[in-house]
Amino acid sequence: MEPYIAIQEDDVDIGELIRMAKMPGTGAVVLFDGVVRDDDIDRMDLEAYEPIARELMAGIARKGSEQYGLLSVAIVHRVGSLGLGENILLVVVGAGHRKEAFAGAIAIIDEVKAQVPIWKKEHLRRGGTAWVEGNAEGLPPR
Amino acid sequence: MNLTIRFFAQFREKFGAMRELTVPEGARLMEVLHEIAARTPDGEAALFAPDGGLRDYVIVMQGPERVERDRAATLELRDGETIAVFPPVAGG
Repeated sequence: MEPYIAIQEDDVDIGELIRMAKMPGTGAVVLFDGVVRDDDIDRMDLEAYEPIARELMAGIARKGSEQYGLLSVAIVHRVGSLGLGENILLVVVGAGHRKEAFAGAIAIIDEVKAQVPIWKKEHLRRGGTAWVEGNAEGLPPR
Repeated sequence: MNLTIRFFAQFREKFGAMRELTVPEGARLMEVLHEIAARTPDGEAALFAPDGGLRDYVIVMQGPERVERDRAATLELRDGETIAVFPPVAGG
């Protein structure tokens, strides 16, 4: 099954993502919701290299599906200006059983964080801004 | 030949989001980046180490492919392509 991949400014309908994850044979759905944490910041701005980010997320989803036998994968990454507690990254996977659903979700989240060209700039409460330090490895050779 | 260079994150703030350039046939990536950097305050220090090579944290993509550090030094550009320049990624 083709993964559902989106990069968007709008918030996410989490209920709809869970409904989409349920296929014939699904016995477990794992949902990860990464949110804006209050690290003494007011908000953060996110930007993406969109076509490349989307292509890489689709590749990560397909690889995760194959490796962990997932029945469905959805990855939604938000961009734009997000306040404290807002959703940043949703990863929703469906599988026959919980073990592969949890393991697949963790693998996909880790790869998204390590590889996808997206950047965050924090607006600090004490004033000023700071870019979140990135993964030094950046993108893998392709 | 024509070329698009896109910058992201800190590099977007310094160099602008996108530059559409006309460069001579056979132009090399490093020549073009040095030229852009030279016209921007502190541009050289942002992209290049003292030895003239790209800094460790500068990632370059040619179309959908990452350009390895060794190849970046001699990379010849192609008409109509898009080059992206950005720091290490920090999504999720």
